[in-house]
Amino acid sequence: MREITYIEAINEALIEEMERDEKVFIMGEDIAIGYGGGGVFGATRGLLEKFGEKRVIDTPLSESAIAGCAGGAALMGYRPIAEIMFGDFLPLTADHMVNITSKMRWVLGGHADVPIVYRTAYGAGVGAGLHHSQSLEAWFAHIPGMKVVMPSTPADAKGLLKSAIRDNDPVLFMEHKFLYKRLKGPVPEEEYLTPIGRGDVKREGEDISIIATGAMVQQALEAAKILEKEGISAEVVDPRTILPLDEEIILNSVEKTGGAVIVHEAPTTGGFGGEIAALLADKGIDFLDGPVKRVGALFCPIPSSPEMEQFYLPNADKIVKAAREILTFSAGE
Amino acid sequence: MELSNNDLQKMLYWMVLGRRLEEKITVLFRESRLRGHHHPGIGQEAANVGAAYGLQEKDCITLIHRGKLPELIKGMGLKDLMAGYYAKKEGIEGGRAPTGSHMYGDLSKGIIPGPGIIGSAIPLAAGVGLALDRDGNGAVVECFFGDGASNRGDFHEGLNMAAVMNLPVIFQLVNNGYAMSVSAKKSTRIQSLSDRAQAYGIPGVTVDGNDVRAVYEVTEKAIERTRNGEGPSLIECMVHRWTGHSISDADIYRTDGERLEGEKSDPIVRFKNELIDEGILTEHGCLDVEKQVADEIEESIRYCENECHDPDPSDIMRGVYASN
Repeated sequence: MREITYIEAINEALIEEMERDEKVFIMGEDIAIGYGGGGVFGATRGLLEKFGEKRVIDTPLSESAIAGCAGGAALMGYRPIAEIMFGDFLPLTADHMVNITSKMRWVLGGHADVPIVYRTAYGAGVGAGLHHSQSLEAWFAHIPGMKVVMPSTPADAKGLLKSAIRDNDPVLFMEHKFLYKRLKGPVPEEEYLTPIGRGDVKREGEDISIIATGAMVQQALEAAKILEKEGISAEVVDPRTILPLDEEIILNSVEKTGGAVIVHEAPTTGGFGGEIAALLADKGIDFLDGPVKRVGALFCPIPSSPEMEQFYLPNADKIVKAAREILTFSAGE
Repeated sequence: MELSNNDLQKMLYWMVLGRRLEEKITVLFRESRLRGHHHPGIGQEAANVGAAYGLQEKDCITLIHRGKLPELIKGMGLKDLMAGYYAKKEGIEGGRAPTGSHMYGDLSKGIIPGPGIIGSAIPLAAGVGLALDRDGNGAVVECFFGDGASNRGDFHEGLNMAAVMNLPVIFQLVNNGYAMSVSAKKSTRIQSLSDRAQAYGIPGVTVDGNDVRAVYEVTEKAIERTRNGEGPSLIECMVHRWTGHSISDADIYRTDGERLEGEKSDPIVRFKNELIDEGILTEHGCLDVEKQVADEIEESIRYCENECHDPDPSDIMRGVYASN
């Protein structure tokens, strides 16, 4: 199968869906031309030429109005894609996402579709610093009416984005900026959709489950390789969407392995990992042979020096350490 | 559109309905027959009717929390609205949202729910305008909000966005001089909030909000302009807030003189007198309007208290997502 980058996959999804449905349009900051290649990162490359400025809308620096406008247009039968350039700008959009668009269907008794995709480039690892690196997914996974999608591979990015655009509820689609041009992977040339709400086992294993999201899936796969050399077989589970969460795939994996390391790039405290740990405590306690470990970032703002940033972030070594601790505990029982 | 005698009588009917409805709802709250929010729109009837009367079926509105006339004029049923106040299953939003606030609507009638966050309807309206613009059938959206909302960042972002995209939005700012307890004088140094339109390169006009015909005329001009593809306008209607912010507000921050200022320029008394002077309506005709309105309100209350049902609590999980 051909291999393309994460950002090329996103670009393809946008083009295919805008070609398929003329009600789909995209608005955001610097998306029409941007740095010359369609946006800041190139996700919207070629869109202006193909679809024109009525459907590829450069906006003023007005994140709240981008999010609110998307809401109004969605209620009127359009399918807006609102690009929020950096995930750190989500707090500026939060009123419209948290208070308004996510509640519109419900408040209208179910008689309204609110098909919005809020796309955003999130995540650390590129030295972008404290205001261009955060992973705020847990904030939005707490909001009834929202969906939160975090693809970890080019194939998932394309299939999930196409599903998100066709979804009739607001979706926060979180694209990891570190992966954009660094991660290449097989992506089918024929059309396909990846369902929202279904996780994926990225590597099968027997001894311990590593449940990881976003860019941390790659770190989990690295950790699995290291553990393999030690004779430990790790399974890597990628929920892909944290809201709704595929509880079954997580519980099935932990039932098989008896142990769980939960990994995300956001700080451990208050992160979505707590929700997965609670799921295991609630519905999977009989499966567990040892403690559930969470591996997240440190509880401080994101530093920009490469040394400090790597110290701050979770990585394969930290995952391996947590896995060993769990297995040592289990062996001592 | 030139207003016919029939139009003028209909406008008076709406104004009286708005007044008596708000008075009655206030009583129902005081009697604990209703609960939730109530922000009386008493004194703002001319602004609300003048602004909404010229709208067509294809046009949309976003709601303001003070006064229910724009949505009633757009076709929301009085019984449905009242049953919403009563939080009945049959009511608008079926008990889900406080009708005394404004997060309710009916998309089939172009009534877009107004967020309970003051001012957030402004970008939402810009988005409705974006959709109407792309539909290309000449429809407009009228966005109602107060002077308080005009100090939100969303006012700036929404007006600027609508202006720069040349969207068919009429921003209808009903200025009653107070955002809850804080006077507009404490909130801005400018005299006329319509001056802010200049910052967005769109027309801004201030009009006497107690003069229903004046409000109608400036709104018609703005709508005409918008239908011709000339973009949004800002209209500031100067009105008085006769009551406290809500029925929970003891209103201790105003003097008696200030409170009574509104009643001196009662928009309904003024309009009635004009119609009588012009021979369009008789004193007797005015009483007929009052009688009709009283009957309709009583009937809506009877309906709520005798025919409607409490909602099923388990219904709250329906419609959170498309799949449920």
